[in-house]
Amino acid sequence: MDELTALAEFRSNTPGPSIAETTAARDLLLAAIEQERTVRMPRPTRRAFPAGRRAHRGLLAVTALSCAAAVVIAVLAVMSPGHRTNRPGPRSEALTAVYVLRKAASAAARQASGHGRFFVSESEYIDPGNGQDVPAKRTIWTGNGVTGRLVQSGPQHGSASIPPGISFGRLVITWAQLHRLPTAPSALLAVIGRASRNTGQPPAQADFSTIVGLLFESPTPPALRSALFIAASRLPGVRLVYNAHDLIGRAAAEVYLPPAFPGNDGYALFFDPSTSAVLGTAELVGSRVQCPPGSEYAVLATGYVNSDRQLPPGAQRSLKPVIWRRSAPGCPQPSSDQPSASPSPGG
Amino acid sequence: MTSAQPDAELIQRSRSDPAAFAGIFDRHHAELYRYLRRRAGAELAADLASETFVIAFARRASYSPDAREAQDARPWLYGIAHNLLRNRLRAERRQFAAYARHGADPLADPDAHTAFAAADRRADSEAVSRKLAQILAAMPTRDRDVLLLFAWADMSYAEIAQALDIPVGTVRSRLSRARRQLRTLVNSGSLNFTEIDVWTN
Repeated sequence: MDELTALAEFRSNTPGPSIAETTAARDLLLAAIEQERTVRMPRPTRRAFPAGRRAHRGLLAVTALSCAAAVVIAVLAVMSPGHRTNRPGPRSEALTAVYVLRKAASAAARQASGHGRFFVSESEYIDPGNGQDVPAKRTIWTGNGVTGRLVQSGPQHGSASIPPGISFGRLVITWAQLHRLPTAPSALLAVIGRASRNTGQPPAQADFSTIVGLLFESPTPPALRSALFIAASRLPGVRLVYNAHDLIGRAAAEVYLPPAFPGNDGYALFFDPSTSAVLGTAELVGSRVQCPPGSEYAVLATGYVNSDRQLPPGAQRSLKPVIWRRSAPGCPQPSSDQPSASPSPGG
Repeated sequence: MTSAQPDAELIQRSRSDPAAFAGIFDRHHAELYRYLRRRAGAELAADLASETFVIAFARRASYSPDAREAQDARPWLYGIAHNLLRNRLRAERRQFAAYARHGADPLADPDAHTAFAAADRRADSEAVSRKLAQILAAMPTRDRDVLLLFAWADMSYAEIAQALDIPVGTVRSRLSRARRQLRTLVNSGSLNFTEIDVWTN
């Protein structure tokens, strides 16, 4: 046996890709193909324009405008607000969910890291499943190695100290541990998978819930946020709701995994694909299509600060009117459309 | 039929019909993934392989093989994959070094690093692999690329030259140098072929 034969035997039992890996990679390619198809517009022929250098410049300008218009139309199709009515087939939903998640991942990767002793997130929320259909506000300061703080209005009105820690599947990790999570999506997904076991959910739903937890109200650095969006795009069955809006009516990409069985819950994530900003979350109980969420949050402002009394830039003084999901049959009617609680910034 | 079309024709067709590029994926993804996994592990391989095809799709307009390689897009795809892999070579070298030190292949068992101290996990056959890993970790990247494309991807000199964008003569000299390094270890007794025979049998 010569040295090349020995080398050929080295790691020769390396397996090929799993079906899930192949599907994820194929979906990624198909999303790129779909994206190119969306951008493509019929181009006028040269004959439609007079000859000459000036006309050529005009042709280029028209072509560029056509492409730009197509991009705008494609983004508006995802971002435009409205009621959820016609739901396209699952295949195209999966493709487009991959597309918006990848777009958000790219946007997140370009952002700068924040600094501060606390990460503060201010949200408006409802929890009709627990009898709270009046909007309330919640502000949470997560400390970097120090005790944080939670301030809520509504039925759970009050202020409380919270231990330094970030929810990660069935675990609680520190700020430092969060920043040490892998930023290669596959490695990250493997770690998430381990942390999300034994949570009572099927693996993909459990992974998605963990991902949502890290993107919402957490001091997640940009590279990790980018990897989380990519990881979400690889989960089998991830869906996009077209023409979605968040709790307070902002146009959003809404991505979710259908609950695996009746009674199984999960989360939907609302975000802006062009900036990667997380706009909110919704708890899914039973079927997403039939009923309003158990609880729903809309992020009002987030940022890094140095005190647990300091509010993030853009903090809201008053709550926004909420948009109820009335179109679904069989859903309980809310008692009010308007916010009735006044916020208490800073507690 | 798509299956009978040479890669170059399929890529050419995908310029007007983008969906045709999925055929290139179906033909080459599994093999490319396996090569990357052998080099960089499962976690990186999935990312690198999928990124390779997205990049290849975006760059398909510039794909212009000469007549000899017209039937096969592999050198082009492996070239893209190698550019992506180059950014992760530090990780690859670290893994080879860890294998050589501890005797547990971090690629075969992602949790092995937590059990490196457990001597009972070290099978006799792993000793050979450790030595190979040691050689690969110490080898210059440019030589290792040529050697592993030759040994693991079954590429010809011309295909390796195309993938790495280097002259065929350079491929020959790098491969020769890499093989000489392996042979030196054989001669010095660092790599015992009796061990290899036992292991491979």
